[in-house]
Amino acid sequence: MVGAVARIKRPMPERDGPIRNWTSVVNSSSQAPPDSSQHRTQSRVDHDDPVIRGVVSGGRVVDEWIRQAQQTARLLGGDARSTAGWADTSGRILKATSDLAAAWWSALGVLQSNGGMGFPSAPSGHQSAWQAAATDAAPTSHQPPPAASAASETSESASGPRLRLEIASRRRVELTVDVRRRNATELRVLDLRPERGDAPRLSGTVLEPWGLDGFSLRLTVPDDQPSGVYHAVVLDAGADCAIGTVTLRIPS
Amino acid sequence: MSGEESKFVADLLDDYGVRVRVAMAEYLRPREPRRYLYNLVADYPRRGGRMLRPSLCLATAQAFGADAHDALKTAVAIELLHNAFLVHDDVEDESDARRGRPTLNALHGSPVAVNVGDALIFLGLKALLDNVERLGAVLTLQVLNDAEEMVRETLEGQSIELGWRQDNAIHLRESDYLEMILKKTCWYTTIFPLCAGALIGSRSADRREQLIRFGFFAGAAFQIQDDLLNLIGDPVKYGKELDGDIHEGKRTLMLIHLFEQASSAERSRLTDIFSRPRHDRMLEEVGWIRARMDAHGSIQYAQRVAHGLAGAAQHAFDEAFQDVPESRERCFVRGIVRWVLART
Repeated sequence: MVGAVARIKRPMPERDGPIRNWTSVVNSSSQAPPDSSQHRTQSRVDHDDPVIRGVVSGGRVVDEWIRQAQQTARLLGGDARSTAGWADTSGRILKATSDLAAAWWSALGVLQSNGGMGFPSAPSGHQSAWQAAATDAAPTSHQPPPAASAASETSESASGPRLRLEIASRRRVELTVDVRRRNATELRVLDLRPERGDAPRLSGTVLEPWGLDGFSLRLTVPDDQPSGVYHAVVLDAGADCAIGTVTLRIPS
Repeated sequence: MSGEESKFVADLLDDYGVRVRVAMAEYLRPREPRRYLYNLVADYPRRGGRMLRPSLCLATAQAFGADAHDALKTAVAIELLHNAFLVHDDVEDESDARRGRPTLNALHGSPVAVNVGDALIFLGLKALLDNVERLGAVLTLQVLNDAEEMVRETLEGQSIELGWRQDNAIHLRESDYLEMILKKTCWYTTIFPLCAGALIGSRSADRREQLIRFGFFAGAAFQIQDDLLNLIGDPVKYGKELDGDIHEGKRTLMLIHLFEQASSAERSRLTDIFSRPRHDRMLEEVGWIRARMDAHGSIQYAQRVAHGLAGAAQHAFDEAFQDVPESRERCFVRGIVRWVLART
């Protein structure tokens, strides 16, 4: 027993919580003052003092902005638990943007008629996000190809949605698909309109969800379709808004 | 601020200013159509200005390890965007003078001025895209991403302020004002130049949060001092009409303080004056408001708030630039806070 001996006590802490007061920015140093009672007197801030008031108010404003930015980052799926996590937001956004940039043109495929060559491989930098492939089709003029012969499945993507293309064309064409919303369920592609001139529109393009996160696109290019660039808007029919574009280039 | 320190900051501002002007000239070359577009696009940038924003970007980039040229296009973009905002601001505020000369809207009308402002925005975008040659695609995209955020924040801040004037808002608090200038001023004046510079210099966004704090406090002190200069500045150096902010009904910290301190009779007169369009506000009414600010100590109040924010900025600087090696660029960024308040 140590009853007769005075117990050793820790000194009372000068504070019992983290310093979250922006007044500490202007009226305190990181060094604790020698006398805690004196410290308490000193830290009793005058909130009517414009200097203190402005700094406290400003600190709250910028803290709130940062908090909201962290929350937004979290909603975007990032880790906003730490400063470092949040600071990396731009990196995450950049990655998403890069993925999107890849998606803009990585659905590019070149069909060659009668050669049986199908699409060339996408550039290696984009293969992980999208890898488009298709067999060549041998349709009769103006007739849609048999689906089975025209379709080819894309490979599984690690970081982006998959794309399945069914393109019927006797000529070499280039196709770019940019669809930004993955969770759309009812997709509609408007007519492909010529960028210049009065070539007839191309209708009948179908884009529909495929699997869990992919899209399937069916397009027929008539033999007598003039060469040129054609654009179409992709609509989310459910939400009644544009969510992307399809661009077709028929080289001369 | 000592004379020596002030001269150091002013000299470096001049140096950076020359570099940015030379690089910016590439984007302001005369071409057709000149009369109503490209000659006018070059008008505000050639009127001078202290080049505070691009200088902050260049100095921060170098302090964080960049080569002197790495951040030059971004600095040019910042200055072009700044001029675009000025052109549009002058239209929105119906201002008559800018940098000692009539505004573009006063000279050529609002439609032409708005178009010129639009062109300046896209020239700024072009300068950011031109980063790709030196910085590569990834870093260019990161800077663009930050620039998009900056422009969005600035537009949101501007909309808040315009809304206050439109609705004749009178029950504003200091925190409302600070939130507005965080968006409207700080993002493009300090936060983006600092963050972009650090990103280019270090290839990392690790210090972003600290830089946002530093940029906010420094930018807020800058804006309050700018608003004060509109009331008490040297009319020749200031280059805009004195008391013009009162005439416009701009919700400055001084005006918010006056509303807080005014008697009920004064407050109702203030409300009445600001409920009318700008051209219906008499000069003597502007003079009366200015005198009430003096009587209620609104100017001294704002000066003290600005000094407090500058103090907080110094503290935030130490955190943001912790471990950044001492250099003249680092000294310049630290010195800019005190320089902001020493402006006349």
